[in-house]
Amino acid sequence: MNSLPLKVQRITKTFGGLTAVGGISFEITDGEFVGLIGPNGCGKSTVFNCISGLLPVNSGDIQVFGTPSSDLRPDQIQRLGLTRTFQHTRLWMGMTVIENLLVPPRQQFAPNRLLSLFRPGSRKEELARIEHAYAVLETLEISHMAHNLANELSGGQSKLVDLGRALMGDPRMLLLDEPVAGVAAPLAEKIFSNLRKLASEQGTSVLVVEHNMNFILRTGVDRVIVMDRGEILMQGTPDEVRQNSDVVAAYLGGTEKRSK
Amino acid sequence: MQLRLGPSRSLELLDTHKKTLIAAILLLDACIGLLYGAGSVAWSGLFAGDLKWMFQSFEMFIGGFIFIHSFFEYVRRTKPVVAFGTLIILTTVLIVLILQLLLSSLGKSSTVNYNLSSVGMSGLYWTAAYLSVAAGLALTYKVQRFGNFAQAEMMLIGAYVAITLMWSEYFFPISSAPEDGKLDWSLLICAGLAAFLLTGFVGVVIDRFVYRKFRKKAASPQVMMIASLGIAMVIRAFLYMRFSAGTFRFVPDTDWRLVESKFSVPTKLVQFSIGDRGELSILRISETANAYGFAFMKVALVVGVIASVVILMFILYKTRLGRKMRAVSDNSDLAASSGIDVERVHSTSAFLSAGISGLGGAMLAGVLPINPELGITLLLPAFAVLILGTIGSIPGVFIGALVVGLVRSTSEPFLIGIGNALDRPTMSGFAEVMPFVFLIAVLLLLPRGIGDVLTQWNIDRMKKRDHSKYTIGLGSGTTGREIFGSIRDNFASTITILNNQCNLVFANVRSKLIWILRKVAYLGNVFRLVIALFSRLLVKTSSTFGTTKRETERGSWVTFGILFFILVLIVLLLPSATALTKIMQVARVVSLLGIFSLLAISLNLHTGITGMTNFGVIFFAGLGAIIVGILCAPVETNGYGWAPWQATILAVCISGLAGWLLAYPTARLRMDYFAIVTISLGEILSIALRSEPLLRAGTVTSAIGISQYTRPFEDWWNSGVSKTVGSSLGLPGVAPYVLVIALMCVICVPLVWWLLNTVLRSPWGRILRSIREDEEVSQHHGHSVLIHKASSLAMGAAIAGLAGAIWAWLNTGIFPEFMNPVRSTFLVWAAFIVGGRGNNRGMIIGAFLIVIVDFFFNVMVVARGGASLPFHGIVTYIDSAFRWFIVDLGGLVWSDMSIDQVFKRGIITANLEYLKLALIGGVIVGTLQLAPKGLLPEIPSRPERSVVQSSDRGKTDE
Repeated sequence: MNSLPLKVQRITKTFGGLTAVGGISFEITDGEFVGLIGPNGCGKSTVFNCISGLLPVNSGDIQVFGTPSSDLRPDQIQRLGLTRTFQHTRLWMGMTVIENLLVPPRQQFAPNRLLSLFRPGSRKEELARIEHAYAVLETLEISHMAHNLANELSGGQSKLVDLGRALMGDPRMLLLDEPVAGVAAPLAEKIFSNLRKLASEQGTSVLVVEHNMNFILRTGVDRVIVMDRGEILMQGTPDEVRQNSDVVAAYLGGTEKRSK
Repeated sequence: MQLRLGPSRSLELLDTHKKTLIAAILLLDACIGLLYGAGSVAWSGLFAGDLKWMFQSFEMFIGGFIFIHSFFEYVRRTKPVVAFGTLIILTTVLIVLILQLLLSSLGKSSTVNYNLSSVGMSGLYWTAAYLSVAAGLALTYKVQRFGNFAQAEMMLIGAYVAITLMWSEYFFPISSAPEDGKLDWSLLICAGLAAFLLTGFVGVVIDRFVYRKFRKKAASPQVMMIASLGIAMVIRAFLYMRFSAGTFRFVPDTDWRLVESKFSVPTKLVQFSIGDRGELSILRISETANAYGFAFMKVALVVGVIASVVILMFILYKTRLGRKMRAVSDNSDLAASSGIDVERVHSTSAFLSAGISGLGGAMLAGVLPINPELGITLLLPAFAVLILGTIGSIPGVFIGALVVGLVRSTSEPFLIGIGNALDRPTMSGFAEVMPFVFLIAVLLLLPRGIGDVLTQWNIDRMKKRDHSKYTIGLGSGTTGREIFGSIRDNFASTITILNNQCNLVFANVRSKLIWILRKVAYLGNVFRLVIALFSRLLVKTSSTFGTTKRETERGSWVTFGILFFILVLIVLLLPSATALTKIMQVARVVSLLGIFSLLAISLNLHTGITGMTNFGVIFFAGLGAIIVGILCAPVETNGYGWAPWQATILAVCISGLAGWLLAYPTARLRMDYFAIVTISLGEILSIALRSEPLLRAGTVTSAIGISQYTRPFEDWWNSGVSKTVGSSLGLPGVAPYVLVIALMCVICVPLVWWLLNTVLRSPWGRILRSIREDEEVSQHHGHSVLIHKASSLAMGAAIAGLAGAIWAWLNTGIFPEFMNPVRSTFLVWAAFIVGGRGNNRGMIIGAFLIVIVDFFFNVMVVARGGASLPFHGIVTYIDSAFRWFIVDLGGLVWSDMSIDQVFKRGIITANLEYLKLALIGGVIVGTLQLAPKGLLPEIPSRPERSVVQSSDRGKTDE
């Protein structure tokens, strides 16, 4: 497939009189690992909501894998291969962790004897799905929680389950909204290196919103998009961003006293 | 936490072009059909007679509606208010156009007489009636954040307070005084005040003892809403038991009913003619109409309710208390932490919301004859008002009430005119359901009510207006001054009367106080014992079958087995006269168990698994029952003479289809809107059964209802099988037919149960549960919420349709009373809550409990007949307790007159049917408080890895 995983052209989104996103454009190529950063309220999550189809854009174009998606429903956009997570983790609280992971896969069909008459082999598919889900949980180091209800998890664990759930839908493009907020630092690093691997080895594009500037600049993202007040301040490699005085002025005001 | 950001967009069905194309095809097809008798409906050859034009008009309406919808979607973004205005005009034009085509094709004409003042004024008093319920609802929504289904019962309490006061020894001489041409105000004012205070007090008590506990547990709005349904059942049952099902009217003084006690409002008669009207012009205005008499009592209703709502608005927006209430409604935790006593605010708002409804009820009792059945017919329009005015906004409720009141009053002459032309003189019955038909239409176009823009517009407009205009506007003029004069004159006498009454009552109370206290203490002990036993049953047993154990597959089965066994034993031990009656009894229990299990399983699929609060169980069941009945009735009596099995298959399919179609307008609605839409559908079907001649069959005359339909295997059974079975069971004669139904239930229930369990264990069940938990996230993980909700609705509806068909066979007749949600929907809900949401085993147990309670009460009713019958002792005890309650305890408060008026000839017996209703309502509330998960809680699915890997928990679970 030659078309870009994500192509955003001059989208604007206003809430009443407030312009949350003012005509931004960017592209993401296959297997690219991109960070989206910016101060609070600069419109990062609104961009996500517009891309995933939760909010209609006021103007502008969004193409997901070459398909114009601004008129599509979220589930149709997901089926194009784009999966997102929410900033405030929203798991299906009354269901077990493993079940949370088993919902997203596409083309699910009944595993029991009666319904598998309609689709032979569906039992095997279900077993494969379950196996896959456990494997994902293991990489995220939460397989011991598989049989707990989602509302019994801690905040960090929920974040991990949310990430695992996003991975279960076989996405070719992932939009992650602060995936490691509240996750212990070593595990967070590991998750980012796994995402890095996912991007470079399997060609999955990843767009990550992250609050912690230092963190994102350290974890080897290919490119960083910096947003400020609904507009893109700059795009570039982590090194370029680090040296840009505008970014420092707008966002990194306090980063001179870097801890490490 | 769950922000609804864009539901209207996220569930868009088709793109605009496709939609417009479909609409155009439908419109064209329907027009051809209506004009030339051609088109798809005619060519299909499926429909004849009235059905044909009905389908054609329906098709045209759908086509036109889709057109209007896409137009509206297009304009709404730029000019919302204009769009809304044109929407109303376009819809009216569409309806008129359909009728014009229809009537001219039938060669008929219809004249609709609009007496302008009559329509306007009756619109106004309907506005007031709906407003008094809706204002309370809105306040509850605002502060307590749930839809209170007991609000209309508050209104009934107010009405009965007024009526009881009228019957009191001090006021009865006034209300029955001879006409003297002078209006007496004392009773009206006393009744209004008493209704406000007492109903408010009841509201506070309920809030204290029920909702407060839920608030402490941070229960969801859904749980509070269901609890309020339980409370509504209890209150209604008590009102029935105290005041019977008869209608009573509040008469403040006979003069209020005089012909002269009216404002005569000059009017004009507007006549619309539609159809084959010949020389007549479409619109004629005749000047020679008699002035419309707007009775003083109606004025009292309008003024009383609107004034109290205005005062409420003043309190809410101008006082400290109001500020506190708004703070609590915004964020109660934050309010609490900034020093507001949240519980007190809740109590105040409960008092005000109940009080206003009570006041409205007292005034309404002077306009309409009151009976406890009135509750639901007022509640649903009030919800329509609330939704139109955008939930929680009191000024919005004003506008909503005006709109709904006018819809009601304009639809009445319209329906009469059209109904006469279409040979349906009873069509005006639909005026009652017009408010919610209108609501459903509005929800189709605007899933969030009239919406934020219009509310903003409303509020701005309300702010600009001076509040005082409301009161002065209606009370001015010479007549108004006279009224105020007479208020002044009568005020002094009112005070004296009140004073005397108080003294007398206190004297009475003092003499009986000690005796009462003893009785109350005794009652209190009994009550405590019952509660303890109940909670032990629900909670303490969980020490042996702990909740954690009941939440495993095996523990759940074991608990199910034990409970089922106990219930079967109870059925077998139920007393019966002979072997034949015993067999009939058991067969009937099995049949009812089957029907209720199927309904509960269907409800479980809708509500327990998919999370859509379905209050319209009877809608789908009724659909199944009516289709089966009407198709199987003999042709000569307006039926179709189908074979039962064909009709059943069609009934199940049509119910399922109705469920599927229902998803389109409702999938994007909030939980509480969905509940209101489904309960309204049930009411609409009930009215249709009462008014629509096509839904009458089985008798030669056009009597209401369906009867005489053939039942499955009836001929085969009567051709000798019944005798064989009878002799093999050791009966003297033939075996009863109900055995066949019981057998069908025994086959159907396990089949459906197994099928549903199979399906729910599949990935589909998983997806449905994820929709229940958070549908937006499910959608973001690639599952179309619309399709999944539609299939869930369709499947559940089909099951309910099957249950309805079986019920039709068991009942041998379907009458409007069959559709009463009290006898079906609410019972199924009780089964659902007690049994355990999300667990089909629980549904069976819940249904079994409900059926046994039902049976037990039926046996008790019979037991009244003779001293030798079983349970006679219990019934006599209940009756004597009831008599004590009414005469001895209640006699302190109300007069002998009020007892004699209700219980004719001094026979005071408890109505066991309603005692049962109260019990079931109480069980719903109690279960929600003590064991919110029910007897058999949902078992979370925990699929294991098939290959035991190096994971540490694999071995322990194998």
